[in-house]
Amino acid sequence: MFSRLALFAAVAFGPMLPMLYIAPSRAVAQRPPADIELPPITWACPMNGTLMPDGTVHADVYEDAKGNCPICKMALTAVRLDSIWTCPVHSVIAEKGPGKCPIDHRDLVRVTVAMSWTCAGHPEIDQLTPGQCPDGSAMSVKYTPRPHGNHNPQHGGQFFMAADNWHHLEGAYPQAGVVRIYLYDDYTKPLPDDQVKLVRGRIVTKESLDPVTHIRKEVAFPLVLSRDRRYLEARVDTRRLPAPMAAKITFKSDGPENRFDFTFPEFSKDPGAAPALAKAAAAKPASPTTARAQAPTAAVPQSATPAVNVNPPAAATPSFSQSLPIPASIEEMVAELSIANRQIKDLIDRGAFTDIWVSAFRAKDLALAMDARSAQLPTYKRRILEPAIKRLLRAAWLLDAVGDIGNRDQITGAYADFGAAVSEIEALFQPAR
Amino acid sequence: MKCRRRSILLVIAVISGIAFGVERGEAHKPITSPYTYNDDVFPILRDRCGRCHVQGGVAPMSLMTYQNAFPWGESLRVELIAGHMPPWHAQDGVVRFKNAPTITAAEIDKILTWATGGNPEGDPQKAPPPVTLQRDWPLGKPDLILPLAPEMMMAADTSETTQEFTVATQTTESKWVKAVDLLPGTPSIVRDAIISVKANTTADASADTAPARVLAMWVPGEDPVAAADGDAFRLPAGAELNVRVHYKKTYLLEGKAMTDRSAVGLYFAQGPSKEIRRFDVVSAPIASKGSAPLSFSRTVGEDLQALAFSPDGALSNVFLQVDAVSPAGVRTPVIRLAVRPHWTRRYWFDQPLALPRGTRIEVVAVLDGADGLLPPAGTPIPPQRLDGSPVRVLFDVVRTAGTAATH
Repeated sequence: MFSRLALFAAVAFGPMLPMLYIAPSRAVAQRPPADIELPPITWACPMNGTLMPDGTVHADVYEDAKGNCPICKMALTAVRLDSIWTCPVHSVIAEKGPGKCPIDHRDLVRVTVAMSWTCAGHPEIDQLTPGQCPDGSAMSVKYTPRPHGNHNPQHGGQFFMAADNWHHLEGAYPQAGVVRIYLYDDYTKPLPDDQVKLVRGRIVTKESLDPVTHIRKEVAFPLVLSRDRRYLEARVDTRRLPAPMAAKITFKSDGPENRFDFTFPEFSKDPGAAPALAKAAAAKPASPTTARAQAPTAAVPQSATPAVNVNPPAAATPSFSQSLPIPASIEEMVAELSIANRQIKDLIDRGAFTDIWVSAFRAKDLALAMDARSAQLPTYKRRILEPAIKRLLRAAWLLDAVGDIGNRDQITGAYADFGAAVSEIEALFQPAR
Repeated sequence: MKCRRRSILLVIAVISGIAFGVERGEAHKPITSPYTYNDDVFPILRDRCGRCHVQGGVAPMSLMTYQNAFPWGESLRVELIAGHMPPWHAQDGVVRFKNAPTITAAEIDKILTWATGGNPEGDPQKAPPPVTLQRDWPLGKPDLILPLAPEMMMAADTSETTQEFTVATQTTESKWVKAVDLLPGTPSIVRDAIISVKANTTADASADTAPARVLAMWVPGEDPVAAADGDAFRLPAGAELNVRVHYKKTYLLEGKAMTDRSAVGLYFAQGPSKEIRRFDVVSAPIASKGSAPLSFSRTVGEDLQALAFSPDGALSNVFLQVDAVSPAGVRTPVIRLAVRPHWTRRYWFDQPLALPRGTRIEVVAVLDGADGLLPPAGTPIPPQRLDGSPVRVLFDVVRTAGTAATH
């Protein structure tokens, strides 16, 4: 998955970015053909996706013409958007078409970038049209990634990103037995018709795995394109709430099948024609990682009764006012770690995957604080605690990453590591009986 | 209180950043990471990654300047979360090893926060000084330097090759070797190496040294470990060394002809030493392809101290669980290890592991991540190609007398 924060950063300030992922040598080494048709200029707000002082996130604003942002009144800035192909992991690679990554030989994935022109040795030169460098040579094209930044559901449903980092979708459950899947690109713009036509999928409401043959059996319902082409719809046999189900979708005929696990706690309420900008104040952060970084101690509130402290997702939305201090003693930290662990388990059980990161990062901050105090512990405890903290840390970051993708198997796999690390730490501080 | 104060300060800093326009770095990105490359990230990368991720190093990219490092932020995030980097495949917390990487949880978190937080450079005035590739012997000048010959030639259309060199030590008397190292001639292509004493040159070879005594399993970025005082490998007079070097080009070197002239360095112990011997634990030949865990064991026949553990050099993509069961039945974990291709190394115990006579070494090898014994997080194991060969693991041991089974 792309780093949501870096991508958010690219979206928010892309027009001013000389380069982000493209290595300097790559960024200036490519020259488009002379007859290349330049992509159109889009006007974007430089504050898109930025956490505002009131704790909300600036909604994305893109316009076709120059002007001011209707939210923050800042002048929109110009950017020329284009698509390139890059490695899923090694985003330093930029190619014009599909192929294999020269580093790890995985299939290249398509990403959206800002296209501009620069000169070798003159990073200050960054313009939207080709031209001539001070030494008389032709300018080189430069690509600056700009995808993502808005992972908010548009129809009251649940929003996930596909593993290809480009497709996004939203599952909605507007009424009993009806499931709708809205498809987006990496700018959360509806997927173009020609690409929607390629999408195939089904909604699975029941499945089982034969332990001997490893064959998965399922009760599935086909997703069919709606007449207005706005969404795919399946009529399913599920009537009760909460409604767990999986969407299994391929975005093109030879592409891999993506799995998205939804659990709808209630029927989705589509805000309908309400303008998106008006919802900015209520919007979720485009990037949980962003919000975490900007509010380092953001966390769900503590409960007076830790044993039952499992907060609903709404409470998990971070804000500065919810920043929590780290307790003084390691024992208190362990107690809060246990709470965060239970919250994550509950969120996974309820299918509220996109809220997991809050508790995961709270746990991570607690674990790091424990690590900083570990010198006061006896050697034998330290030898167990330090590696357990490293495992917890990595698992917390992984939970943050896979929570966005919405694949229950990946999330439960990451949680298995996380939970095991927490158990090790808990066992270390359990009072002797 | 200190933590709380720090949190409040950070929040104030962030709010100030928003109120006065989000702070922007050299690349005009919003800085959401409180950590910068110059202040926080560079020192970690230099100390933990700089042996390989430096200009001319074996890694495909340098991380030693901001301009080099920030395009790789996403790769750093993925590799660190998966636990692939720094490359170390023994599970932490079972037994401590001398040569384990020392990166801390806080350091990992700093890099991840920076990598996902806009990759800020920090104050350009604090740009770190240039880092150059280390081209010397970490343990100092060896007592005997043996250049590999002939020069290795790698054609432009070859991306990977393994070459064996035979090197005559020309020693006239038996020597005690406490450390062995390899100094790559062209570090960007020398990927790993195994240095052994050739069996047929050791007329006085004991059963322990046949067929070949591995002196070192070299991987880039790792300083050689010198055996503790009093312990050493025995090098027979006039012995020849077999040096198997694996060369691999990074994508940056594809299409280029390369050459290498590496050298082996031997460090001799002063005075007579206790010989480091080899104690193998070997499975029966694998009869058929299967995914069930393979269990095998060997009982120690005399009092030993284990100094190090290593998987057989030919083994890869196997997860090993090794325990020592004392004569009294006390089970002690020795190692949990995912054996990865081209990262075969010797795992030196932080403290020697006592193996009194009667101790049973039990090994479970999972060939494809079978249920019930999964590898550490983030290390998916592709299926092992079974060729019928037995699975072999090795201990480097010294003989002791009456050692208690503690560690």
